[in-house]
Amino acid sequence: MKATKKFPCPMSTPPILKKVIAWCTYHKDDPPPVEEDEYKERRTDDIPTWDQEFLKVDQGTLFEIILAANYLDIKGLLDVSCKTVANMIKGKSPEEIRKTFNIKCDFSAEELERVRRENEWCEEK
Amino acid sequence: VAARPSMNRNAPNAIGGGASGGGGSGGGSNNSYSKMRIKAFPMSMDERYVNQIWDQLKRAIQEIQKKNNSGLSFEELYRNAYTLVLHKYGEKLYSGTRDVVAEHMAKIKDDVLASVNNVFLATLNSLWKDHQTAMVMIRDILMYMDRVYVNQQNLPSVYNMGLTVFKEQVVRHPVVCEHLRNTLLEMVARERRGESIARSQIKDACNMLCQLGVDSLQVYEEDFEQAFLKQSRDFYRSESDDFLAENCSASLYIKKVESRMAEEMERARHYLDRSTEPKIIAVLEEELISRHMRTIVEMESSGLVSMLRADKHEDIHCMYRLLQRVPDGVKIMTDCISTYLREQGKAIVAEENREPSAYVQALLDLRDRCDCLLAQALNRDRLFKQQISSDFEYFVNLNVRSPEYLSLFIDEKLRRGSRGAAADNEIEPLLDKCMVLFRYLQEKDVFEKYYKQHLAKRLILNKSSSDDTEKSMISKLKAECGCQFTSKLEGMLKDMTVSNMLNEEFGNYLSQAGGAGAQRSIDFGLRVLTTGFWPTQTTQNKVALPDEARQAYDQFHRFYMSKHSGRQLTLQPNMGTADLSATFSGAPPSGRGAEAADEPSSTSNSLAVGARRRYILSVSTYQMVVLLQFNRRPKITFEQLQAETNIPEKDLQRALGALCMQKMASQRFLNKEPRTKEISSTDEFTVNDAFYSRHVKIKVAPSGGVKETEPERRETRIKVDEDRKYEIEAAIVRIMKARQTLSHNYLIAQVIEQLKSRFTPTPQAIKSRIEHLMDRDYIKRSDQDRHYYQYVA
Repeated sequence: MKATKKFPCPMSTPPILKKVIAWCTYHKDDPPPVEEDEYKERRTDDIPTWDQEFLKVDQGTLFEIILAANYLDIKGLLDVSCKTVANMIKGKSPEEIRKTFNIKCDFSAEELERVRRENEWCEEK
Repeated sequence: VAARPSMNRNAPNAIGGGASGGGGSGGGSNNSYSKMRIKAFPMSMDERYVNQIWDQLKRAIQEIQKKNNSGLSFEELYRNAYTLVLHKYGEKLYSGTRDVVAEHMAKIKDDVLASVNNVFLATLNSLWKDHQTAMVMIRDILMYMDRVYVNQQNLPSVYNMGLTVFKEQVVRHPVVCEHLRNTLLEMVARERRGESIARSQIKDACNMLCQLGVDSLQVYEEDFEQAFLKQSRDFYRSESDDFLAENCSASLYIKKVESRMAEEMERARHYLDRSTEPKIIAVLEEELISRHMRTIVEMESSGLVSMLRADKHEDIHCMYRLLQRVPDGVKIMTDCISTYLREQGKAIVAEENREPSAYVQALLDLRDRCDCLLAQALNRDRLFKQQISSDFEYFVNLNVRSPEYLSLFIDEKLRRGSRGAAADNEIEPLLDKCMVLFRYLQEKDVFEKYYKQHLAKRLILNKSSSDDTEKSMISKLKAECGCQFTSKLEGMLKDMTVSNMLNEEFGNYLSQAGGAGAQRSIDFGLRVLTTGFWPTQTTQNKVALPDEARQAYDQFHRFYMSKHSGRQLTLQPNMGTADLSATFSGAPPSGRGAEAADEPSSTSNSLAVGARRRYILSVSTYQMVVLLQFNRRPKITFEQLQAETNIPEKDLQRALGALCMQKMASQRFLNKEPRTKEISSTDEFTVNDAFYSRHVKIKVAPSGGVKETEPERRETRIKVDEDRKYEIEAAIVRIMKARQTLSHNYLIAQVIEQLKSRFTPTPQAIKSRIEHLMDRDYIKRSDQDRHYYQYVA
């Protein structure tokens, strides 16, 4: 499809849009996505290699890409970028997650202890 | 738009679960590692700002509905909707949109109502179209909401919501709804009457109704289709009644129905919904066909029977095609045809004194007509095929002489020189057709008996036109009934071949043996028949052969015994033929003589008046013996003949009958005194010197191919019944030997099953055979249960 019209896109910035367009250009011949089965198992380990390389960017960029993909309704890009973030979360303890994403812990010490005790049964011994 | 929601990049904050506040809280922990640039979670917008955005959207939607969309920026509107949903204002957006749409619907409804008496349909259609276009655009700008909010809340999508509002407010408005339905129905009614209408308008309207059901055709069905079907039903019901009252022609009616069906199909495809087609067709089938099918099939002078009589295959085909559509339609036709066919068949078989060949030919012709009918009119439909076969089976077996007649018919076709003999290329297909009739016979063993008789006559009298054809016929019978049926027939053919060989060898033997007693005084040929194969007519009597014949026979006997020492030869004088040279020396009757005098004397056939006339007579052996007696004495009585020749009385009467019972004096070989119809033992016979014939060689022996007289038939019947007794017994013994123990009823069923390809034994007959076998200790009653039999080894 040829581009016919220009339109403004204030929802994002040029560098991010460039990345998005790069992704779309690379994937322009992809077959249309299959109808998603609600009950199908969701995986995060099936990100194509090219996409993995493509998404090796700083977190800020990554989140911007997610937002842009969401706004522009680009399902493929949205999926792989969210999966990338998911992989960053997987397997980490709460403290490690906080560290990765620089999340301030807003529990008091007692609350923290209570939550930990309540969820003790999940943890592997 | 005044202010945009700020997406501060560098504000440090938490990614929390909800849209909690805390934007821009303080600079304290300035966590700006380069890899962890956290974006602020979108903070909540203030109330005012939200309303602003919403107003903008609302106005845009209204402009779209007024067809003023050219000045709008798609991206901006899309973004606004996106923002609202992102900030959790999806609900406001959704319900707001619905309200705007509903508001607009009120205007549309008013417009539609206004047009009720004037271009209603066109107005409705165009407003609908506009609404669709508007909704598409509205959906496009609200796409994000459709994707996210609507799915989460399980609400109808924007477009579908628009459909529902339109349906509820406009189309289902009582006045609009009714007027729409009536308008559509009236247009259809007018078109059915032959007027032309604006089809595209109905098409658009129906399309609209289909879409308004969202995922189902319910709106279409409720608002239009049901009423349409009902109107159609009433219309066609009365149309068909009226038509039939006025016109009493089945084929006209059928054509009318076909054209109406084509019309309705075309109508449904053209401007109704496709799903209506099968429903309207079903209505037509019921009203036009099912309700009247019996009437048209049974119509006097134009119904199925008259079509059959006139072989109107086209019309029958149309009727078949039509009636095929409804349950039981075809059955009515098969019943009607069956009745007609049985009537025809019965007429053929019931006619007394019909010649066998005419009888069979009529059956074959009827069968041909049926084949034609099946192929051309009935599409070789299996039901008809079966029905016709069972009808034939029914009436062919009504006449017990059918097997005999069929055999005679075939005999005529296979005999050389008979009037009905078929040309070479015609014979095979004709025999195949005869096989078709053969299959219908229920008493195939009776056919076998007659066929054997007729075949024997053909072979002995050397009358078959072609050996190959005989073999071909036998192999057809074999394919139909198995080898048991045909093994004897094949044996008969083989005997003929062997006999020919024997005659040749005998000739060689004689010429080699040379001198003493080897001189053959008369020219003769012998046929050796194996006893088991040929129809039993063995006579043991010693007919007094004339010496020449006796000598010749003895010679052959010696020759044969030298080849096959273990066998026994018996001469069968009732089966042979002889050629006699006969000289008549008297004057022919006066009329004849005058004629003869006019003929030139040079031709070989003209004989001088009063001169001796020599003929060659082809006679049976018995007749030869009788005639040669007149070489010794000129006048002999019946009694004397009997004593001298030793020929059985009946055979002698028959032989003499052929020689002396001719009407005209010049045709008789012998004269009988007195000239009564019957031959009694005191009658006197003399040579008729006045015999005259234009031909030199005259055949006297009957050449076969005559149907049996009543007494003969009864005799054959008795023989058949005798044979059947043996066959039943053999079957019983076979079955009991295999099963050892069997109940009475089951045994009867098994016997019938085994024998049904030849004939159908009655249970009483089987029962009497069982008792017979019990008397002879082949089987006995079981000790435990009286109803069971046991095999006695």
